[in-house]
Amino acid sequence: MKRFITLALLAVWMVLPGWAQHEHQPRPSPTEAPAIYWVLVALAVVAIVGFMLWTLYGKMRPGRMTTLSYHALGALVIIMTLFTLVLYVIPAQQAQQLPATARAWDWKPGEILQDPAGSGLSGEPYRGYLVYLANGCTYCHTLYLRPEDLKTGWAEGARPNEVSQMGDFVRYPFTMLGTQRDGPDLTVIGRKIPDMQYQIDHLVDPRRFKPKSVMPSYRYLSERDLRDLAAYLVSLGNDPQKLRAGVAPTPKPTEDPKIAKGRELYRSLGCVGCHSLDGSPNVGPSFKGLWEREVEVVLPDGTTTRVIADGAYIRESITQASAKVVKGFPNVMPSFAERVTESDLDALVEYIKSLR
Amino acid sequence: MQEREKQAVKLWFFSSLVWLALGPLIGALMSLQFLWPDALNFLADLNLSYSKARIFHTNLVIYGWIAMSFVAAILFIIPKLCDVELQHARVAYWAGWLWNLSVALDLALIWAGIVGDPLLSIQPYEYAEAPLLVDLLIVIAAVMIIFSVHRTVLARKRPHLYVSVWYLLGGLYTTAITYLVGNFLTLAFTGLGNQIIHAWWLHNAVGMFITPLGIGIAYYLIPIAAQQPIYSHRLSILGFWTLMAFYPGTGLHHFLQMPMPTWIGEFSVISSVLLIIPVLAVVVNHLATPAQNWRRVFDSFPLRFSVFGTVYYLLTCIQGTFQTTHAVNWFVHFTEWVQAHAHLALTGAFTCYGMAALIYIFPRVTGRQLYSRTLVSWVFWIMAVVFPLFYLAFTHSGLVTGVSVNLLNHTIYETISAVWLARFFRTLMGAGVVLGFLLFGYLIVRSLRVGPRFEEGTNEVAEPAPAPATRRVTV
Ligand code: HEC
Ligand code: HEC
Ligand code: HEM
Repeated sequence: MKRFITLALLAVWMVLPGWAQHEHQPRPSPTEAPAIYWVLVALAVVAIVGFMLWTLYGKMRPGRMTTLSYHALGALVIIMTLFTLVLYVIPAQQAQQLPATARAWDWKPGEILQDPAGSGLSGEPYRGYLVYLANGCTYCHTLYLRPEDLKTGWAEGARPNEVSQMGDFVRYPFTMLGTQRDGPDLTVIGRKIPDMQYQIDHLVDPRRFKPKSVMPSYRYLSERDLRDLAAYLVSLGNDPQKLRAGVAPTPKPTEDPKIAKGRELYRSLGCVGCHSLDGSPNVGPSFKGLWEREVEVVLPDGTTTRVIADGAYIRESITQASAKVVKGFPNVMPSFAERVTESDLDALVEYIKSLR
Repeated sequence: MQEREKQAVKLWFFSSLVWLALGPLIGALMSLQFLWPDALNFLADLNLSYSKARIFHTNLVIYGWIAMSFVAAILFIIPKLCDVELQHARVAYWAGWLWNLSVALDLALIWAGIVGDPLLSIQPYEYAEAPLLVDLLIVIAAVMIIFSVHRTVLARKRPHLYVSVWYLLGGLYTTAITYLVGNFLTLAFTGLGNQIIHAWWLHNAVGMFITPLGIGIAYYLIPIAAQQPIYSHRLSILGFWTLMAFYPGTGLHHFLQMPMPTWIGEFSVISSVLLIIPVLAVVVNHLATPAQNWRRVFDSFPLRFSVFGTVYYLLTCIQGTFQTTHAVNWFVHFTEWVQAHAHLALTGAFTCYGMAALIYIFPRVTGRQLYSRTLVSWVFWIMAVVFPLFYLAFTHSGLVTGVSVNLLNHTIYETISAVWLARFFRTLMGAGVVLGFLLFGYLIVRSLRVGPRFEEGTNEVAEPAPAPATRRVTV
């Protein structure tokens, strides 16, 4: 009787989680299991149930084991291990033979990437990936986007069409998807911050741009390692074809020097780390189309009002970030009051104005 | 025991202590990264960073402490169960030096961080970061150990194989297969295929390597220390074979939400839930055996530590089967909840087994008792009280992250300040656990000099000297 109750409880334990499975099933199946898999599963279930019944109720005759049967059982241990290995090798084969998606990461050893921000820097993304490996970035950062990530805070600024698919990874020599996120996912970091110089500066001293960051300083890396790593980061989330062709929004020759200076400050002060130029929100709102837009802000006393993003508002945002906090965003922007001069502020305002 | 057998056991024994002192200490140090990141900037001057230190930490505790203490225990237990002396004890001894050399070389190469060298660069597999050169050395050392142990089993005088022998010998072979897959077979796959094989390795590193060896050791220690026969022979058979059947397929539950063929992900989830069968079989056997004689728990420290280990093992696996379902996994994945689980298993369950084994073995290879009951009790209570607090702080930090990012849609950058306090407690309690390990090392090293002589049949730990009897003056 006791045994039946135990078995029944066990069965419940196993069936219950099965019910909850499908609700959070992240994605539809990209490949089907081979038919032999189901045959094997059925056989395994029968074998397991039979075996359990035998150990619980069967007759045991100790002392009847011969040397041969010991060896046979020993071999069985190894066979069972190898059996599941084969089960894993099948989908692994399928996965590496899928066709690549158009946006799949695709950089060969030796290939060079020019900084799309137009700084004149260049680096080797493939080697950068190896630097990423050698320094263990994978213990804080992941390299894949789940559908859930769009609905939650895991992937600021990621877009629905950027959710990872199996074909995105086929050109990688090996993968480092990662199991822990102490920092943001980096799948599309290159699309969000396409700027090698910023990436290098951030690697050397992350808290210069993000005062609360817990990311370690990688200032010990050599010049070459830093450049390659930055090139790798910039290659993430960008179509490799376009990067090779140079999508760089090269400064127009007739550009106002103030705007050029503003662009330079945007990078060197680290605004690029939180504000994108392509309309997608990052830590902070995008600068694209900000000029003279109506913004809903929260005042220090908790009330909300609407203001027009004019020069005065932008200046105040830079020097006194917490005076008006954009609704829906956290109050984490550092104050730049001590770091910018009056002409810097002018340049930044002009630059933002140019980004309609 | 022959002198050369003792020498082999001692080498593995004392090396494991060195790594036990070092690995967790590095862990405590690097946890400061999450509290005062600038305080660890000095690491950059040494060509180091949090992320490299993390590899040091995991490799040291797994290959330095767990593996070496378990092998010390295996070299001691297998000959006892087979009633012969350890065969080829010299080989096992030199394997110990080779293993130490590999661990040290592993650290040196990770520290050097060489980029793009096929033999000397870090490998991209968690817990198998060791560069290929180190892997080759480890494989040689493992083959030497398996050779010596298997020859011992073949030369046995007792025909029947006790369940520990099954776990230990089988575990050594599955360890070998797993290690070869994680470090060498992975080289044959690119893209996501590589990640799938990586996943097979990742859980079998714990499931086919640490788990069977640890359980085999506990299966030896618990009956002998409790002075009771094993509770159920049937359950031990059930536990062993269902472990071998269900464990190897579970790996992909570490990457449940990556894009992959759904059927293989479901296979891993179902295997993981089924794992509750071998776990319950083992746990019932381990807890019901001493139940007839609970008072022994007060005298016998090996028993106390291993029973505690089993309790932690049960908790780990209940948590494991729970978090393996999609319904829970999407919430806790990527957070420190998972690291808490990993520590419950490795620091809680398997370190307790390792310590139990060392306490049991020490008097029998050195001829001295451990010198201080107070100190062993301190270590025990640290493992029983401070460690659970450490675990809770770790879990708390994971849950806060989960709530903040999954439910409140905060970014990770905003969440950093929300988890500060939980991480602070984690460091605090972690430091307590490290202190326990250092005390343990101190206790053993000091007992070498001052421990009273040990006779078979007396306690492993010296009884406090009886207070000088006060003379009763009769008139
Ligand atoms: C301790 C964990 C940790 C490690 C290790 C780590 N990072 Fe980070 N990383 C963070 C955190 C936290 C953030 C978010 C705050 C910030 O931007 O600094 C971050 C942000 C980033 C960003 C985004 C920057 C931005 O402005 O949005 C990049 C790119 C990055 N890390 C790259 C790397 C690389 C490359 C490595 C390895 C050399 C690395 N990280 C190692 C924690 C880590
Ligand atoms: C740590 C990330 C961070 C950095 C670095 C940062 N900002 Fe911000 N910024 C934010 C956030 C978050 C907001 C929205 C909340 C607020 O208004 O404080 C914001 C808001 C703003 C706004 C108002 C935007 C709007 O849509 O109304 C402006 C203008 C601005 N930032 C300019 C800058 C400039 C210029 C720099 C560089 C000198 C900079 N920021 C650097 C995070 C950052
Ligand atoms: C029934 C038994 C167990 C089950 C079902 C189980 C399940 C899991 C799952 C699902 C994860 C991944 C969680 C995630 O990333 O979202 C995990 C992680 C982990 N488990 Fe277990 N577990 C079990 C027992 C053990 C044991 C016995 C050990 C140690 C010997 C262990 C060590 C680990 C480690 C180290 C990790 C972290 C891996 C990483 O760094 O990502 N587990 N476990």
